Amino acid sequence: MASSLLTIEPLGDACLVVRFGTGVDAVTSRAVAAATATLTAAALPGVVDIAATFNTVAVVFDLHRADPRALSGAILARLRRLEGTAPAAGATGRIVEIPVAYGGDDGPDLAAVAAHAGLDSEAVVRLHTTTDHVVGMIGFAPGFPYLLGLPAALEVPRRPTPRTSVPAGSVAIAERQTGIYPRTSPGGWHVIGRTPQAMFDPRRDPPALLRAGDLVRFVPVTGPTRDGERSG
Amino acid sequence: MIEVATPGMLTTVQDLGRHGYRSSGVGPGGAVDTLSHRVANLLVGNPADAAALEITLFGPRIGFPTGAWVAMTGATVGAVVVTADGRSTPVPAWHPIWVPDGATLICGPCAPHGCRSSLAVAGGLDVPLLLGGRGTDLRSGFGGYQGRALRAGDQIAVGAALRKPPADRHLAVVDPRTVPPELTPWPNGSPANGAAPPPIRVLRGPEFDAFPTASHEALFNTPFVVTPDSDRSGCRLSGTALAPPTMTLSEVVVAGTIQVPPSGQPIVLAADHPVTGGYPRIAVVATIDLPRIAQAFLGAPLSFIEIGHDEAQRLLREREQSLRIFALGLEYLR
Repeated sequence: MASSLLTIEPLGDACLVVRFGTGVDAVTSRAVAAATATLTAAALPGVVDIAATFNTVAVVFDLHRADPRALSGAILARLRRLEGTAPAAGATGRIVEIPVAYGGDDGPDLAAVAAHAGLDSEAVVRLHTTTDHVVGMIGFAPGFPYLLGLPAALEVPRRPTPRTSVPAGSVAIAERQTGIYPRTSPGGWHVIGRTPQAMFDPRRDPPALLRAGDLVRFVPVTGPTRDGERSG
Repeated sequence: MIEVATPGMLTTVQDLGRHGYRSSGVGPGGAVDTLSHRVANLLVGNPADAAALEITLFGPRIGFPTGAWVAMTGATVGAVVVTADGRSTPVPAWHPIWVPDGATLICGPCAPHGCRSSLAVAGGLDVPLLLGGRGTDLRSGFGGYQGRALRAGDQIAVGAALRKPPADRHLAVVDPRTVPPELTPWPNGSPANGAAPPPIRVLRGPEFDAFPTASHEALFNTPFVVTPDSDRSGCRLSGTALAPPTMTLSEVVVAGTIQVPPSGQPIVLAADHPVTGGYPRIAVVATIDLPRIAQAFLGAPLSFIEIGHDEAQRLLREREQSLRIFALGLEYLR
C-alpha cells in the first residue's frame, strides 16, 4: 500500500482513525483488511478494539492506559512494515459461498430491479451470481456486510421510502453494493433474494459470518428458505 | 439469587461492555454511565466490571431471599429496604447497604437530576459471558439476562461475595463510607442546589471544519435540551438547527460522538451505538464527561465547550487516579 495515502486523525480522545485515501474499491478494502489484521495481531498496549470501514481503520483505546501520541507512532510503524507487500486477493484469503433464493416472496424487488436495469429477472440473478463480491465493511447492525462489486448494469438508487421491516436473511442491493440483513430491521435497499445462512450468531466467535476483505459468491437455490435455520 | 417483583421502566443487566467485536459490527454496549457502574461495584467489594443492574427512569422492586451487600449509584431513585418484619430503611445513594435475608428493595422514580441508576450486588450478577461481556444487547436480543430487559418473576443468580455479612444480618445496615463528588457524574455537587451545570467538554469532530461557522457558533453558544426519544443508543438534542455537510460514506463512531443528521438536531451517541454511522461528526464528548451525558435528564439543558486533547487526557488521568486511590481505600471490603 502507498504510505503517502495513509493519514491518522483522532476521533475524540480515545480513538485514532487511520485513513487509506478516499476511494471505495476492492484494492482499498484489501489494504484495510491487511491493516486490521496487522493491528489486531500487534495487540498494542491500551488498545481495546479495532473497527474498520471502506477506507479507514479505527483503533479504540483506554485514554488512561495509552498515550495517544505514542500509540499513533506505534500504529504508523506497524503499518509502514506492510508497505510494498501487495495484499493477496481477498486479504483474508477466504471465499464464502452464500446460497440465495431469488425473487418471489424472498426477493420482492427483483422484478423492479430488472425493469430498472432493462433486463429480465433471470439476467439479474445471473449477473449477481457470476460476480465476485468483496466485503468492504461490516456495520449498520451486527454482522451486516457491505459488499462491493455489484455490476454497473445493476446499479440502482435506494428506495425513496425505506421499508419499516425487512426480514432477516434478505439480500438487498443499492447503488453499487449488496447488503445482507442479519436480523429483521428497517431497510431502504432493494430486496432481491433471501439466504438461510445466519449472518450473525453471538454464540460463534467471531460472531459475524463474514469479515472485511472476504470474497463472496452468491449461489442461486430454489425453493423456500427455512426460518428455522436463521438466528436473529 | 435476586428476584424481580416488578421490573421498573427499563432495567437491564449491564457491565462495562463488549470489546474486540467491532469488526463483526458489535458495538460496546454495557452500562451507559460507566463511572457510576464502576463505583457501585467497588462499594460492595466487586471488580469494577462485574455485572450489575442498570435502572432507567423508574426503578424496580427486587426481593432478596438471601441477604446481600448492595450499592446504588448514579441517579437517586428514592429506594428503601423493607425487611420481613415490615421495617423500612431508606437507601442512601453512593453508600453500601446490607439488605437482610427476605427483604425487598423498593425503588421509585429517578430524581430530576439524572435518569439512570446502577445497582450492584456483592458477588456480581451471574449471567453467562457472551462475546466477552455480560451486558444485555436489547436490539440484537442477546447477552445479559436472556437477551432482554427484566420482567416480573425473573430470578438472577449472584456470584460469591467477597465482603462478609454484618454482625447482625437481620438489620439493614448503611455503611457510612461515601464517594467524593469527582467520582460521580456531578463533580460540582448535586444540581439540586440550583447551580447551573457546567458545559459539556467536547473535542472537534472529523467533520467539524465542513460545518459552516454559524453551526460552530450555535454548538458552542446556544443551549440544547434532551428530547424524549433519547435511549441507550444516544442522547437526542433539540436546539438551534445545525447545517450538516453531505457525507457519502459511513464512518466509525464511538460513544460521545455528536452526529448531525439532516434535521440539524444533534445526537450524542451512547453505549448501544452502532459501530458505524453515516452522519457528519461535528464533535466528540471528552471521555471525562460521558457520565454527565449518560445522566442528562429529559428536558435538561445542555451546552458545549471545546477543549484540547491534552486537557482531555489530563482530566481523565486525574479522575482515574482518584478512582484508584478510592478503590485502594476499599480493599478492606475484600
